[in-house]
Amino acid sequence: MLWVTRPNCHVDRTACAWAIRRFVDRDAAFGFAPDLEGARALGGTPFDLLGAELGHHEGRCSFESLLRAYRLDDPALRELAEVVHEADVDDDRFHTLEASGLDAVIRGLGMVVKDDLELFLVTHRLYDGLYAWFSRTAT
Amino acid sequence: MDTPWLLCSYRLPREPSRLRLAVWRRLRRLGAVMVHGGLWVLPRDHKTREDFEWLSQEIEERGGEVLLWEARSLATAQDTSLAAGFRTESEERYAELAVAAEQLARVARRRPLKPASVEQVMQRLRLLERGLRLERRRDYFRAPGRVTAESALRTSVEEVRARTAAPGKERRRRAVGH
Repeated sequence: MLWVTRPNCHVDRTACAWAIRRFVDRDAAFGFAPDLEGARALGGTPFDLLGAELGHHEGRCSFESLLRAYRLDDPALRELAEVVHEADVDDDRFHTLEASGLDAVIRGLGMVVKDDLELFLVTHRLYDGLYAWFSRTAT
Repeated sequence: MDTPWLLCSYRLPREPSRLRLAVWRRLRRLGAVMVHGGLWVLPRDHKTREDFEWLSQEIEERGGEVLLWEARSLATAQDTSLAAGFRTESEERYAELAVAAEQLARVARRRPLKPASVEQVMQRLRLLERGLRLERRRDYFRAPGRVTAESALRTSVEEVRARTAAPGKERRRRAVGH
């Protein structure tokens, strides 16, 4: 399946891409378009695009909307969602120490990894790691 | 220096003023700098771009108008002075944090600290730490005041820790001394 978002990805979109590939659609392909119309033209499911269901709603960031839409729920994912929310929206709703670090790492990666698909590959392992870290008490 | 910039200009309905204030606060929180009384500037990175994009969606949803640009300065001096503007604002906020941290250290030194004021001091310490984290995130051009603010906060943490941790030991030491 094709999933479409805006180019130049930061925390929210890289986290969405990770969750899509890991939990929703293992063979997910990603495309990029500036807006909802462009996403429809490509025939993909839009995420983190203005007006998309998988977007910012009622204070939720797109990652949180995605977890909700696909009923992805476990304690580690909830913790990760707080980190992503804080790194992305930065509204002091959660006080997660990891958020500033994640923001810095992904911002910096955005400066050196120019291609979004490559950025997804790099950050994929990063979110795998964070998820494993947040899962550790449950194992 | 060749910094890519993001520029944002917007217009909102006069009422409600709550909305105007919310947008203004959001821009300030992002660390955007306003030039010439209406043009908001941020250095471009993936995050700042996304921030401006979501903000403009919010403004449009509420009946406002927004223009966003990605831009490069034609003159290098322009980049330098814009960066200096960002640094000055970061510098002021770091200075405020440093002053608040020093005040807190003074409060902590005032002994004995009652349990109620310990709670209050800890609360202020947490706020300062959060403030510093926010500041570091919007410190786009590495203002030197960061070092001062961090060390003031560290001193303050140490003072508070010294007054609150293991009061038994403190008492014993004093007893031995007398």
